[in-house]
Amino acid sequence: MTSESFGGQEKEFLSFTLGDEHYAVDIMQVQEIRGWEKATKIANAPDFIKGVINLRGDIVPVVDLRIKFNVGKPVYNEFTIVIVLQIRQRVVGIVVDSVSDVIRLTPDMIRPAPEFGVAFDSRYLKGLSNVEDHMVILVDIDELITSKELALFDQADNKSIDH
Amino acid sequence: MSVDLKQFHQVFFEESQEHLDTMEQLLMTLDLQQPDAEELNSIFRAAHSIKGGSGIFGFDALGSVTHVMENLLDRLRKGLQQPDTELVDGLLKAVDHLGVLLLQYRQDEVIDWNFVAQATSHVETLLADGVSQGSDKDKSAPYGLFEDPVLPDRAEEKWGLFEGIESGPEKSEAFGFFEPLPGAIDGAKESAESEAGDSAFGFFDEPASGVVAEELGSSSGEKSGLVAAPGKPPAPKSVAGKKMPGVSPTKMVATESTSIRVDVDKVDKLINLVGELVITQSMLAVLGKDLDEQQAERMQNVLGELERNTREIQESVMSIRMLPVSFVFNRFPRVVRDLSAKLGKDIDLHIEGGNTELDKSLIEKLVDPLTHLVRNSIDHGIESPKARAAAGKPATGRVTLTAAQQGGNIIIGIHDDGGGLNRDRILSKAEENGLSASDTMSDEDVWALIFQPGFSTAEVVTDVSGRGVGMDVVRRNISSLGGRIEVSSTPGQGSVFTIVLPLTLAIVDGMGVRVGDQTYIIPLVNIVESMQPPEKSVKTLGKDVLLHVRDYYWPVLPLYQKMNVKPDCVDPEKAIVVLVETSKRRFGLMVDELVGQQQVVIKSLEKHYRRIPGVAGATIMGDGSVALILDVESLASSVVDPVNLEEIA
Amino acid sequence: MSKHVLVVDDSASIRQMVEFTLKGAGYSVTAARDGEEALSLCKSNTYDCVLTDQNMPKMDGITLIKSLRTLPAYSRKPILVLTTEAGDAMKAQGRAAGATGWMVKPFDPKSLLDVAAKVMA
Repeated sequence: MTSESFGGQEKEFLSFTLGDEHYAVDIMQVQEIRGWEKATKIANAPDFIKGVINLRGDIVPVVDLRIKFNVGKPVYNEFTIVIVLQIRQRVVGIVVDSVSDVIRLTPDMIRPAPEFGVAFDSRYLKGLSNVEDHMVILVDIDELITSKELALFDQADNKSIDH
Repeated sequence: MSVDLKQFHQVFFEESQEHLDTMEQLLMTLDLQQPDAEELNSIFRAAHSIKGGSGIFGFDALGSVTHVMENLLDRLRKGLQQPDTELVDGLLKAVDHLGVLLLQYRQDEVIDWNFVAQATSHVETLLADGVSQGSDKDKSAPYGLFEDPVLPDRAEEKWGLFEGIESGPEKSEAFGFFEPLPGAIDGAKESAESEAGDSAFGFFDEPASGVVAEELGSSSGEKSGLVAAPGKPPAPKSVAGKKMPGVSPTKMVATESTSIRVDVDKVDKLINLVGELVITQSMLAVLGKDLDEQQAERMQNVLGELERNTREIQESVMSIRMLPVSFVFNRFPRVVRDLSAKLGKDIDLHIEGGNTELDKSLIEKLVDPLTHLVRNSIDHGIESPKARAAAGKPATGRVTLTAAQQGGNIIIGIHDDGGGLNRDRILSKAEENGLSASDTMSDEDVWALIFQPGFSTAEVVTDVSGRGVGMDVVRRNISSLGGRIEVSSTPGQGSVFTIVLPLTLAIVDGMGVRVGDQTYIIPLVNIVESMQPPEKSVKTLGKDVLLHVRDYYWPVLPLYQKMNVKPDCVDPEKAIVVLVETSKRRFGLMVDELVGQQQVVIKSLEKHYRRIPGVAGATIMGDGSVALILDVESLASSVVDPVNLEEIA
Repeated sequence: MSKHVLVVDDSASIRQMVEFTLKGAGYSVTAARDGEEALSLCKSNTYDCVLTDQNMPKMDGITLIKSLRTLPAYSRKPILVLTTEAGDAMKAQGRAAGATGWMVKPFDPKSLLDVAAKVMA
């Protein structure tokens, strides 16, 4: 994934923090931001899947990326934020430490992601950018959420939502 | 193939009324100086559609009036005749006449043919001078005799094959094929011309007293069990209509249209919203508990009112999705006919209660299991004519499909008057397959064996019932619908398979149970009893716990282990055990506490997540939290085999 | 696998009747209410046979047939045109558009099944 996928246009990203690191996702995939609430536990799910919550009648899974990628500390308090994302036809919540800002980036402001030095596998990254003296890691959230590694969806379902 | 066309009449009436309204509206606003081509086209199409439908459904009076209208409108849209005020007035009058006739058909009244003749000739007078009716040979016919100048022999042909297909034996034809068929059809044998010569007569040689009308009459008469069904998109039945069983649709028809056609998605959205309303209402009930005494009482009254209204809304909305079970049943006359011919058996199919209504999604999922059961009855149930004769039974076997509503359930029966289940053969087969069986088992338990995986009693595996798919799959399908299946049988007299289904898939009656800080819902249909186990009845066997109640050793599955949560108690004698029953086995689920019985709205987990073993879905509780609905059927597979345990114990 | 038929007719009652009849005989059926809807359905699905009315809003049957014949997937599929006009002009139009055959409305369920069986043999 390189800057070409942005089509040369300025794009908006929502930046958030996991521990001390700054990340950002395409704002078009963000459905809403809400405070942390206790999720209903799912038996035998990996520990980074916190469970499911009621999002206006839809049953939506919540993933704690801090646990999955071992960044920061998985604490849950009144400041903990859940970013609700719409990925293809699915809705998924991700737990983050805080939401920072909406940032505008043009393709020339984005550098390719390094192969190492970032908690996320480079497969799930769109690139890096500097915003106000700190580095923001652009996450390819679509790729991450639908990955086999997270196993959020049944693989057969994945196929069916691809087209 | 007998199709009861009556079931489409309602839709035809509605759409015809819509067409009449369209014609009226467009005629009134037609610009006589510069008539809009598309408007004229639309008017033409409206008349054309009514004519097409009337022909098929046998409403000859409508057909004959629209036929002449169509000719006139065709001339208008082709610019062969200019519309003027007089003509528009005349057409509007014709629309009124059609409205009268439509109403007569709707209300099942006798058609006044003098009126029809007047209406028809009225339109004829509107045709411009020089355009005589006679020039169009089929003008006088209400429908369909077309002359073909090139191939006059085909004047009465209603279908035909152009080169590329053999259709010699067809006596009456109402279709045709153009040559050269682009490869779709092989084996060209006869030319269109020669085959045309073969088709000596057509379907519709009598104009007014039409053969079609007769055929319609007979086909609707012989299938009394198959009752009018709204098609797709379903024409929702009015709630009032639903509450008046036995009132024929025609009687309910007022002068106004009584139903509208709605997209299924819209209905589903409404159902979801009502589900939300139910949840909100139970949230309110939870909040109401925190109020002080005086307010609490007033709150309770209001909540009670709200609950009643919500339930009524819910029931009304659910009823929109209901379809008559004849939607599934209607496919079986064909299945029975084909199969009995294949097997050399003579079988009559009877259908009762076809108008019993069931949720649309259930109807769709019922097709496979029902087909399997009907095939099974024909293949294994009904004996060969020889065997029947030897047993002193009529040579013609009888299979009956029944449907009825009983409380919140729909009961579907598949009855056959065949030889009945063979106890000895089932037992020996069960032993052969390593299933636990003994001669002392009750008939009921023996019959239940046929639902075990891999069981098939047919001496000969036929290509009708096949080998791979057995009754176990049928049972699994039915329980995935939240239902169950039972069988009863009398030797020499036949068998009855009974399917019990919930009215809808969207709501389940469940028991809320708590384990640690989590709440789960157990479907009531699976629950036998809940108890705090009496001390003496708890037996331990290594790591496994058994509960000896009701003359049975129930293996106990601690839910906290299965769901990986921290429970309040791990001691079965202090916990609550919910005895459950599935198609596979009976066992106990150990929980901390019963929260209470309630109706819950089933939400899909798979919409945004994936399947979870042991979990059928989720629901939203009164406090807004999510509770998982247990899939008792799949939990059963992690229970130790009770029979082995029984031996040891 | 049952054969999949696309039924195109602007009249709901006829659509339902055709759909019901074909389904009863074991066909899978999809219905479209005009040529435009049918064409877009055909672009994403492959049907074993298309049964289309002639007079419809938006796109008529003849235009639909012509358009379908330009799609590789439908260059050889049976397409029948349902028409109330059995005259030669109509047949010539259908033939020129590339239809496999025609069927006169009104028809009864039996002849419908006969045609269907023939084209999808």
